[in-house]
Amino acid sequence: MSEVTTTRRSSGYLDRPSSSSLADVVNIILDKGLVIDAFVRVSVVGIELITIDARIVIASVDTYLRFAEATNRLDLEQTGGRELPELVNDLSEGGSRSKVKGMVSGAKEAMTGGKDEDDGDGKKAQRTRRRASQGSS
Amino acid sequence: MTGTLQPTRTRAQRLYLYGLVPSAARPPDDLAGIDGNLVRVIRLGRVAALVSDAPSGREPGLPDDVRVHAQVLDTVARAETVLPMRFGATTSDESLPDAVPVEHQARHADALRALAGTVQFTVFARYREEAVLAQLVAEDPEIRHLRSITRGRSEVSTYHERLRLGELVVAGLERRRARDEQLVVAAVSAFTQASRAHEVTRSGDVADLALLVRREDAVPLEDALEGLAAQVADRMSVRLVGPQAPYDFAEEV
Repeated sequence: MSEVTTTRRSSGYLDRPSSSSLADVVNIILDKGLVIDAFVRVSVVGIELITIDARIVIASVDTYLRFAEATNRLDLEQTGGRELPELVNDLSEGGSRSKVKGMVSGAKEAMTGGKDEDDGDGKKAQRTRRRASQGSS
Repeated sequence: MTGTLQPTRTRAQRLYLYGLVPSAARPPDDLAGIDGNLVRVIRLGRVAALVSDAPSGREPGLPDDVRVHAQVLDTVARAETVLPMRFGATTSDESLPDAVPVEHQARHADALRALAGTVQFTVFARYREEAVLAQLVAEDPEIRHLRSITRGRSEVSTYHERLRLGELVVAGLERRRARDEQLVVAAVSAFTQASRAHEVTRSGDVADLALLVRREDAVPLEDALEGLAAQVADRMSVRLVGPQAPYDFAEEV
């Protein structure tokens, strides 16, 4: 069987990486290929994180704000020099970024808080179960 | 190294399985697998197993192992048909025949015959953000208006306008994406035996396509994509990975 030939363009518009990144590899082989039930599948350290990073759809609000910012940063007029509003924008972006970060960590705290409540519920549920089992015994 | 069963050892040797190949397949000479262990072929009957010794003293599964796993399969796929394992697995030389039982081998052999002469390529296309955003601003009066009233003002005072602006931009990207994905599909269809479109999940991604390509069509495919990449260079980047083992076209067993 003849070996496949490909051209390796050094210039040109097509991006032609000679070796694919780990993210590419994971993206390409994830959930594909042969799985033989008799084997215990190798668990891949670090894969889960990469997968999440590659596949997660960032929460809409965050995405919208990012695209709004990217749209605002466009210099459509191509005036060359930086205009005053842009400088102001840059400064306020610095501020807004930390605000977004604050919101995100706030959300994280809220989620963690929620988890704690879940734990509380879980304990409650356990207690309820225990009571139920005591009642039945 | 030719593909014959190693002499039986006193202790069961741990093997790392990369995939299945036709029983007559020969691996490339001196192909290094996981931990640098030589890749070899063990005949099982109607198919053969592509294996190397497993790493000693540790379980495989580090990111580098995944890279080597894919590299071995992609290298073999350049010249031989291969059914790639997803991430690979370890077994012992004694239990390898049990893992690929004879009653399943006919199906594997059929799959290998169906894939004979082909390799996989994967195409990713993504928007060049600034260019596409500029086009959206130019085309959509509401985007233009929202941009003008939020630009240079604090995020707090224009929070809702910014959300609406971002929402419109993301919707605009999605509308264009459907059109531009078809552009990529059309450019490659003449050179592909089969294709699978993966769902794209990041705003700004245009297409993520797995293509099954005859070996002799690899260069024409590259030429076609080079042509497309030049044509859309103002708004999109196009990336071609391969040749690869046919991960997307190996049947689930």
